[in-house]
Amino acid sequence: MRGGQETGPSSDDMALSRVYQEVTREQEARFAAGYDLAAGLDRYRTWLREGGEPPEWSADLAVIELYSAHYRSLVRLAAVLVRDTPTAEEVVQDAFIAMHDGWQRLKDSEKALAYLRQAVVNRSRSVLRHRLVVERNPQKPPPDMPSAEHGALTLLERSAVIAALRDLPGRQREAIVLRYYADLSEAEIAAAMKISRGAVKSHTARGMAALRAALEQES
Amino acid sequence: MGDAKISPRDAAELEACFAAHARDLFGFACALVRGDRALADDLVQSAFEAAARAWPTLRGLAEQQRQGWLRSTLANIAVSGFRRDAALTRRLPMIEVRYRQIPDDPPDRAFSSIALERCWRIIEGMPKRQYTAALLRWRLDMKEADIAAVLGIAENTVSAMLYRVRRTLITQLGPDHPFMGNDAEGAAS
Repeated sequence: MRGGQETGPSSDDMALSRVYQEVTREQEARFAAGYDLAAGLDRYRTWLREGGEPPEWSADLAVIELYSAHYRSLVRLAAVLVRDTPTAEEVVQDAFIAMHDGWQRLKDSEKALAYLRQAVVNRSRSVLRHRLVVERNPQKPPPDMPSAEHGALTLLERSAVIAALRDLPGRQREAIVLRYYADLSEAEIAAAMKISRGAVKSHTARGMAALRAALEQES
Repeated sequence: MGDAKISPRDAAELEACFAAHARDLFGFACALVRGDRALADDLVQSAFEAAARAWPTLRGLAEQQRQGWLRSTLANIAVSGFRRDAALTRRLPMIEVRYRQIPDDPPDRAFSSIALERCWRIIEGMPKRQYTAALLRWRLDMKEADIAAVLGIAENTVSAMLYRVRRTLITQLGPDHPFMGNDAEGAAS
């Protein structure tokens, strides 16, 4: 092959990927065959019996785990609130970093998830507030064209429901998104939005009525 | 705080999950850490400890998704051990990438097991950091910039290491290295 090329072309990369995929697959199977399952299971069983939760569940690992499990659903949630995916990703990453910093106070994944949701909602709100200020400033065109190339949401963004959702007042939109999109319970929504359950009910009901009206008008 | 006991029902389910997936996961871990079985054992244990904490979510998943979760969690734990001191902020986006991209479907079997075995000997014999960088690049599909961040080294260094790995494979395998023929246009000159 050619001599002094430092960064290989992607075809080269693809070929190497294939080699690596196949080589490691073969080796994984070989290593797996030599595994002492009984010993591993024994060790795990002992750990389970002794009550789990090792002290070294560090903030780092916790964040990584929560990130793997919830990143995308939180981005979707934020994206519906702030209406564009790159901003939504920023909002969610900020929330994770804040959670990482405050890990000493949380220390458990249920609480951490509630915290993350609330942080995402709060941060989305401040993004919207900031945007409102920018939009009132006449020099700039309103930045409400979502960048379409962000796969996850494009499908949704096309739908009439999302369009109608965007026209709802902020609190109603939040309540509906959390209820029907993020699938939270009334109590969880109340916690995430820092309002009472009664207020959640009324926001949801009024939002739904407005949505219904908007969609009927359209069809 | 840290003393939440695992219920007997969950413990039984977790044991079943361990019995079903530990072997596969151990193989995956061994390849990640260049055949260090003791370390692989610890990684498997850590992944299942994580599974116990995430069990409320995991128990609802299909077997295959659960396997995917275990593999990516294990890779995350292994990689966070590789890293020297990359800031968390820089690691977050690639953790997601890694999570998404760990490939599950075997490509069509194209190379003979003899060729694969020879490849493995060469790969296995590489210096540790080259081994790790190459594996992150071509097994876990990470970008060079992300690998640099995880390993706490400069991106140029990563490029140079990957280049060396490529050269090593090509020179040591000689004329019949398996990625030459598939790729006549891109690779031949």
